[in-house]
Amino acid sequence: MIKKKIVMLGSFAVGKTSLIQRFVNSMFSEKYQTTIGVKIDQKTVIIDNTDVNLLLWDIHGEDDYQKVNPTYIMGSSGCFIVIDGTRSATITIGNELIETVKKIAPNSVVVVLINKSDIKEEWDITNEDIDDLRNKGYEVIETSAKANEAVEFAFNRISQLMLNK
Amino acid sequence: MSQSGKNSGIFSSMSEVKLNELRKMILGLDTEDLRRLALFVNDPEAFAEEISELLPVSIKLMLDKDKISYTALIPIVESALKDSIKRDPKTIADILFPIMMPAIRKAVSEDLKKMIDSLNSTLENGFSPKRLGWRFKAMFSGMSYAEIVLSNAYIFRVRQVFLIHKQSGILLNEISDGEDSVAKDADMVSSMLSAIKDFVQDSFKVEQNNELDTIKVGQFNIWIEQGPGAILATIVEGNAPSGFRTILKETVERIHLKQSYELGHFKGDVEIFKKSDPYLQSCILSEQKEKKQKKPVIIILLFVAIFGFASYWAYLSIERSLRIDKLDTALRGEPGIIITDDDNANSKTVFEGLRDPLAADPTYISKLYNVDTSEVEFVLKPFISLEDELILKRANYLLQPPNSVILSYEDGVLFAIGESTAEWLNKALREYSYIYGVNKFNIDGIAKSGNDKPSVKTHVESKRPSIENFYFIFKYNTIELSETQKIKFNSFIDEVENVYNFDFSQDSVPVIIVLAHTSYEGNAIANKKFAFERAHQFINLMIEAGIPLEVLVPKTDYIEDIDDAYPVRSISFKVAYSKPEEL
Repeated sequence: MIKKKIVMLGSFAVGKTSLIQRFVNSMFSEKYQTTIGVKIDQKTVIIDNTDVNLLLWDIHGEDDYQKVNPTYIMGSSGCFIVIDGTRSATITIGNELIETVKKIAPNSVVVVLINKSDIKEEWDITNEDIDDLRNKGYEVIETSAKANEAVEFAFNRISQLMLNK
Repeated sequence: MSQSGKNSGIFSSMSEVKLNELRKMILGLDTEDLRRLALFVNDPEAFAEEISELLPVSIKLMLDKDKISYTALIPIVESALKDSIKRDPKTIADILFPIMMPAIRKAVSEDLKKMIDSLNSTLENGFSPKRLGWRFKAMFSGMSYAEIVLSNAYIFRVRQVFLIHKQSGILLNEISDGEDSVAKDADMVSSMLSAIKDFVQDSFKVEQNNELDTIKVGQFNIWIEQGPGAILATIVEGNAPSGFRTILKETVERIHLKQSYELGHFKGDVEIFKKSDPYLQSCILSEQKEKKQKKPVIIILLFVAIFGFASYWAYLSIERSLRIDKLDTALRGEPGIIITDDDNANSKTVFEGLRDPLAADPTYISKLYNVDTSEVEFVLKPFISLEDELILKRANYLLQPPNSVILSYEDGVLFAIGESTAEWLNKALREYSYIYGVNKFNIDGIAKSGNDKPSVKTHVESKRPSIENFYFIFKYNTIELSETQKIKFNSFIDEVENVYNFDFSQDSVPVIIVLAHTSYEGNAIANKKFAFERAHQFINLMIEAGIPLEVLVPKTDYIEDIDDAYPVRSISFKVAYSKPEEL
C-alpha cells in the first residue's frame, strides 16, 4: 500500500472542499461552509495496479486575514492549487501558494485546478492566464465539482504524477 | 660591460625559466608550489589555516571509510571534556545551559506529575482490602509500601498505537490491543493528530521542548511522543502512569535507530514499517483494574440468612447434643438403669437398655436436664437391679416400715433401726427373705430401741402423780362442775390422755379409779348413793372427752378422819395397773 498526502490550497470559496466531497463522497452541496483549520479525507485509487491511499488535506482558504499554516504543507506528495475561474484574483493567491509549496515541499507535485468550469461563461480569467501557468510548467486542469467535470481525472492525474516522480 | 651585464641578466632569466622547468620535470612542482610549501613550513599559522579546511573533510572521509570509528573518538572527546571542565567548568555549563535547563524542567515536571498522579490514585484507593493487601505484600516482599502503591495505583489500558510520519502525517504502522480498534479510520486519525499537533505548535508558539504530548478525548487519552522523523501516538483508556512516557520515548528512539533511513526517505510505501511491530507491541500495556462490582445485596442477604440459620442450627445442635450427652451420662449413672445403646432417629435420640421398675423415671431425669420428651425416646426393658440403692428401695417398698424405722443395706444385709411395733417387726421378719439381694435382716437396732422403752408399769407410774394430784370439790347436794372446775377438768383430761398415749399390750392396760368421797354425817347410805352418782356423772364427762369407758372405774369412799387427804363431797383419782378382770 502506497500512501500519499495531497493538500488542497487556494483562496477562500474556490471549491476545495466541494472538489474533495465530489471525489470522495460523490456529493455536491450548494451550501457554502467555510473550512476552519484543516479537514482530512481519504480515498484509495488504483494507479497502474497499485493501491494508492490518498490522504486529502482540505486546508482553509487563504485570504488577507488567514494565511495557510506552512506545516500543513510539509510532507505532502501532491498539491492542488485551486483557482476560481470566476475570480481572477484567486490566480494571484494561487501563485503565491505555489511559491510557498515550492519552499516547504519542493518535491510536491503541483497541479492547478481552474474550478467552476460549469459556469465558464462567467469566468473572468483569460486563456492567457491559463497559458501563463502552463508555461511555468504546471499542469492545469479545468474542473467543476458541481457538474462533476474532470474531478476524478484530476485526482487520478496527480496520483499518476506523484507515483512517477 | 653593459652588454655582458645585459646578457648575463638575460641568461640569468633564461636559466631561471629553464631551472624552473627542470624543477617541475624532477619534482612535479613549480616555483609557486614550492613557495606555498615553504610558507607552510615557515609559517605554522598559515599551515594550520590550510589544514583546518581539510581536516573536517578528512575525518568525515575516514569515518565513512571506517578508517576510524566513533568509538575510537569517544576517549578523545571524553578526555577533552574532562580537561575543559577541570580548567573552567563555567564554559561547558554555559554551552549546556540551553539544553540542560529545559531537560531538567521537563524531568522535574514529569516527576511532579508522576507524584501527583500517584497521590491521586492512592487517595482514590483509600483504605481498602486491596490496600491492606499491599501493606502485607510490602511486609513480606521487602519492597517499600510506596513502591507497592506506585506499582498498583494506575489502572489503564493502551488500546491502539500509531506510528505516524512526522512531516506528512501519514500513518506508517498501527497496532491495537486485539479488541475493536478505538480509532476506526486510523489513516485519517493519524493525519488529524498530525494536523492538530501542527496547529497547536504553531498557534501557541510553544517552545520546541514543550511539544503537544497529550490530548484528552472522552474517556481516552492520546499520548503523543515525537521523534525527529516519526510520531508515536497511543490511545490510552484510563490513566497511564507517568512511567509510560518513558516507554514511549524509548520506543520512538528504537524505531528511529532502526529505521531512520526509511523515515528520512519516505515516499509513501508503508510496508517497510511493519518491522516496527515489536516496538509498537511493547507499548500495548494494561493494568487490570479490580472492577467495582455492584454489591449483590440479595446474595449477601441470602448468604447472611443462610449463615445465620446454619449458625443457629449448629448452636441448637451443639446445645442439644450437650444436653443429650449430660442426660446420657446421668442415665448411665442412675441406679437401676442400664443404657446399652443410644441412637439418633427421626430427630430423636433413642435410648435403649434396661430399667428396674423402682429406678427413677427417665422422663423425670430428662426434665432435670431440660430435655423435652419430644427429643428423646426410651426403649427400656424391665429387670431387677441388684444395686444397693435398688435393693434398699425394694425393701422399703415391700416392708413399708413406719416412720420411726429406718432401713439401710450393705453387703446383702438389711439393717433396721428405730422404734417399731412388734407387729411390723414380725411382718418384716417374715417377708425380708422375699427381697432379692437381702440375705439377712438385722434388727439389732430395733431390739435395742425396744429395751430402752419404758414398761407399761413404769409409764403408768410416771404419769400417776400428775393424775392423782387432781381432785374436784362439789358444793352441797350438786353433781355438776362449776365453770372454774371445767377448765381444771380439761387439764385433767390432757393428763389422762398422756397416760393412754402409749402402746399398751392388751393384757396390761392401766385404769383410772374415780373415787367420790362422802361422810357418815346424816344419812350415810344416801350420802354414799349421792357420791356414787357424782362419780358416774364425772365418768360421763370423761367419756365425752374421749376417754374409753373400759378404763374408768367409779368408787365411793367415806371420810372417817378429819385429817383425811380429801375433803367431803370431792372426787379424787387413783391409777391402777392391773388386768381388767382383776379390777
